[in-house]
Amino acid sequence: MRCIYLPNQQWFTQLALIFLIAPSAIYAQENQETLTGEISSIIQKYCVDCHGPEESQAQLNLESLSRDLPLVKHRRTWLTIVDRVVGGEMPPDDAPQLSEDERDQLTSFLSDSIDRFDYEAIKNPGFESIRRLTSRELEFTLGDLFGVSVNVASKFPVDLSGTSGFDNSANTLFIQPQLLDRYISAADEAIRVALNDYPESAEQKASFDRFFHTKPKGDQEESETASRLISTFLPRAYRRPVTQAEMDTLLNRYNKARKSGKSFNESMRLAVKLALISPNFIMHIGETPADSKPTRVSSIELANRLSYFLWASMPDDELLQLAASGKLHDSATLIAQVNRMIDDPRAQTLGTVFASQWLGFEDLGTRIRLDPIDNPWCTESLMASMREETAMFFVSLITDDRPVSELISADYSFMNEELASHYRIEGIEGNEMRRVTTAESVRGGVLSHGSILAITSFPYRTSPVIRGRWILTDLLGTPPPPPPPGADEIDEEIAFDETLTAREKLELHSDSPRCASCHKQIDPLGFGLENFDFFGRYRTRNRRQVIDSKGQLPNGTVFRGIDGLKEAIVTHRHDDLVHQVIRKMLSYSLGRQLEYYDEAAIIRIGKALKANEFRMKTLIKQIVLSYPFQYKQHQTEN
Amino acid sequence: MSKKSWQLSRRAMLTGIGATVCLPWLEAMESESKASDTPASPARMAFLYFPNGIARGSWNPAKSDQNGNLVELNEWMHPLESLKDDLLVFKNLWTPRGNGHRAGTATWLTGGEYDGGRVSAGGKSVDQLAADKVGQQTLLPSLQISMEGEGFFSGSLPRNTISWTDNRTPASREVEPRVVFDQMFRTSTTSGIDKGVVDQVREQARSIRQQLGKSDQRKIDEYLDSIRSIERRLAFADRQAEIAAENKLLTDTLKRPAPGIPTDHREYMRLMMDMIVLGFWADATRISTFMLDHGQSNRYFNFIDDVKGTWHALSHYRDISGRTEDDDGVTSWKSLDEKRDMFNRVTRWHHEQLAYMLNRMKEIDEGEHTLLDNSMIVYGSSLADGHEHSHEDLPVVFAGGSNLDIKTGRYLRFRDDVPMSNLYLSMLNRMGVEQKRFGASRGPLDDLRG
Repeated sequence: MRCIYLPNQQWFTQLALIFLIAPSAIYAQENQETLTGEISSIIQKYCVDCHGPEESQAQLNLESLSRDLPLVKHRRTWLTIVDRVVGGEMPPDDAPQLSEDERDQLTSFLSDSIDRFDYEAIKNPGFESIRRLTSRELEFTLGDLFGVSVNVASKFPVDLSGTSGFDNSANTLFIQPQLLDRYISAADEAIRVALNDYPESAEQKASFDRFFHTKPKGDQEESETASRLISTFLPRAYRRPVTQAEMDTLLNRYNKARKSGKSFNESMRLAVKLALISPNFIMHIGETPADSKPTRVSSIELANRLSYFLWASMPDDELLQLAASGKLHDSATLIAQVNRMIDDPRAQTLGTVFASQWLGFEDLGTRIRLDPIDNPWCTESLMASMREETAMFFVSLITDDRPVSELISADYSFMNEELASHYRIEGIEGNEMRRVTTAESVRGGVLSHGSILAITSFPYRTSPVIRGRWILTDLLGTPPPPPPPGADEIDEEIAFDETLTAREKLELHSDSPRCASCHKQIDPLGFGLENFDFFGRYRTRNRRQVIDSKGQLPNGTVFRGIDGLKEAIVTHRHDDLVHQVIRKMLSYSLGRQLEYYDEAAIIRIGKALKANEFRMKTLIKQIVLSYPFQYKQHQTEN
Repeated sequence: MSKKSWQLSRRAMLTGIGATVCLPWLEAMESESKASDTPASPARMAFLYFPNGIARGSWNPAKSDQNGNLVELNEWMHPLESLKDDLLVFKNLWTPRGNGHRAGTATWLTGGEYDGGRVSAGGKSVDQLAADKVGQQTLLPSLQISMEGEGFFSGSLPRNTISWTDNRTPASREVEPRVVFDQMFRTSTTSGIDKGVVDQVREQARSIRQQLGKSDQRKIDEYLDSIRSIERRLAFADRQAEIAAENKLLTDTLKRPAPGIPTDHREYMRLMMDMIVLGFWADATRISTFMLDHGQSNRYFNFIDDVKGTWHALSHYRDISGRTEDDDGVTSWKSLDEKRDMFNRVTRWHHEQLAYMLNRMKEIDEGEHTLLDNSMIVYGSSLADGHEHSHEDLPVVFAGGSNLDIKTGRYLRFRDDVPMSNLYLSMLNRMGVEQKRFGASRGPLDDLRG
């Protein structure tokens, strides 16, 4: 049977070549402006009846799609179309068929337009739309603003995510009435813990003293103190220099309250609350470029981008001061700041916020958990340790400046006693998570982490399909094409046959022509992890049958078990892994979904990484220095 | 209000597990007083969504007469039997532009086409259109509530959204009974913000807005809209207090739910339904949507006798191996009949909860009519047969509205497929929204009149 995944594979190889060796073969951009009449008429003649404005089967309207240029904007969709046409699935048998010439013409045009697109020729840094702080960013920001821990994120509804997979994407951060309520309550809560006349803890007292630090006497002194407190507080809250008028707004609020008989402290608190519910606090608001040309972001905006990328929180005083003096645009200064920030505990968010969303393990213990009554062993603390293992591991790759491939191939991990005994590793005592060498065991690298193995399983059963899909899609960024029409229905004959094992059933399922094309890519990857059960425990047998952990990469490389899988990925899919970590981190750092024009930056970052042994600090620095991070441009379309 | 339904409801309460927060309903039933002096009662609408479809054949009534009047529902619809005079059971409604767990859920109320890349539901949903028109007259323009999700897909936007303020913006929703209650009945204490502050932040937002490009202005507009809604709540707080003060029955009934999510699923769902009933009764809102679960729910209903396995797995009832991608790995079934029965039991359990809500609404007098007579309730799924993933002949029950030019008690069987949008358009018109088209509609559904 023909493997219709091939064209994609070729494309990935080509892309890898482009960004690792030497790009810049200039292809005529005019090709991209309009489809030639011949191509258009082929599409009109054979496709639009079912995939047009009147009827859009598979939610595909080729008429509008072929007008949305350049075609690389919808790279995946077009590549799938090429697959379907080359594989003979489209047009369907009962519809008029393309002649061989027409087929070649169409598919080679489409493939060329996409494979040979010259990304370097586009200069578009994209635009970070203004967006609200996520509930987590809010919690961290309030904490850093007052120097006291504030617990507010749990009171927010879960931020649902769309295509980027990150909750900080501007396009899914809506502000709705009920949400604004939460921001107001969060302001109240922050003020209650941070500026309480009757502090409930040493931490709260320290934060109170830091804010109020003097006790003014008399009208004159009070009013001077109020001005001074506001002028210190407001630039930090708004994370930028503020105008006199902005300070006056708060001062008026203070004055009005004070005149109405409220205490000095209470009047100040009301002024602070006004700031904390202002859009200037709850939203990221960058400066709007004067015209539609790419514009370098201001140093203050750069400071904000940097701190929300590395800390998921506000810039600290050092960063704000550097920004205010304009020095942050100096590359050496900027890099020194990156180094300082990576070593700060706040950079843990790269594990707990970024990696947990990218790799999906934040769902463990919340969306994905076992019934606690039937499974008393699956404690909250175990699941927390599992999440922490992966988060700490990811951050350690950065702080220790390890190569990207160690994400897979590491021979160490992080554990405490409960997690170690879950893994049946002896000699780890106590609750504290610590670094553990795992050379002697099956652990090490995210593929062996309980967190990842659990989130890619069903409640009581492993799923080679989900695990395979996770490796291809989330880890490597090379999702298999969407299922062909009708793939939802499982072949009943197979499904009803009780003599088959799950593996046999899946293999049969993969043999059916409709499903085979994708499942041959997906399932064998997952089979390599079958020695781990649905919660990441190692096993050699399942239901009394010895586990067969033989697996295969889409390119045909055969491997066995976790060690084989790790080696196969590092050897054969290294470029994809690097490409994916760049994409994901860039998207997170920009707070938006990536677009086709970001490819140029990804290619450049990839080259720099290659020149530096694919070290993680290089990755972060290159993102910070990249064109889309340093520049922005208004988009004409929405 | 009939004595009979009162007794029924008490029995239901007593068999329930956990706290019966809404016991005051019983006091309400015993009370002599009536909710008098209510001005001409407004029209209300609510949409109750359930996922995963049904088993083919479990929706059609057992018997209807030649005029289409409902004579007897089938065994799986039995919980609604005593209410059948208030129902319309439909045959051959559909959503021509999209169906299923994801697209079907997102577009169930929009009649639009789903676009996964942009996460667009193809238009504003029917409830939000109505809210634009009549929502300004109540404390909350509309109320969106949902049972808290469980398992896979609980974070998926399209599977968790039926209500859209525009094609790409989901209307915010609440999952906690107390939060909903507080929004409606404790307005003065929740917002913690006064008119002066509102004015000042609005001023700030406006000045920011002036400096922004178009796409960013939209974000500030969202903020301004939210401020406006808080302001409206401040303005409505007094009116709401008056309504409550004048209606002793209502005041006696208002009881603040405990914080958090009740662990008993039935109690939780009924509490959420109580919020809709209270909101309608107190005229705190006239429009509501309620997702009884997210669009691909994997929830276990093992608390129902003779049921095992997750809802979504059960919905694929023709596969009994227990080893498909929908299964949990420990549950399997002996026969297709056994599994289909389990699926039907889960569906029937939801009918029971609907019956609870409809009975509550029936027990509330609004002058000549009951609250149910003044309400239009749509209850249904975005899938027809759960196993086949079919989208023609969606399971839909309509309830109430007899005071709104709707003749209930019938089995409305269409020969050809009729878009759900037609039904929605007719409902919009009855809410006072004059428009000729909605979503995929070809025109209003005149058959509602009988």
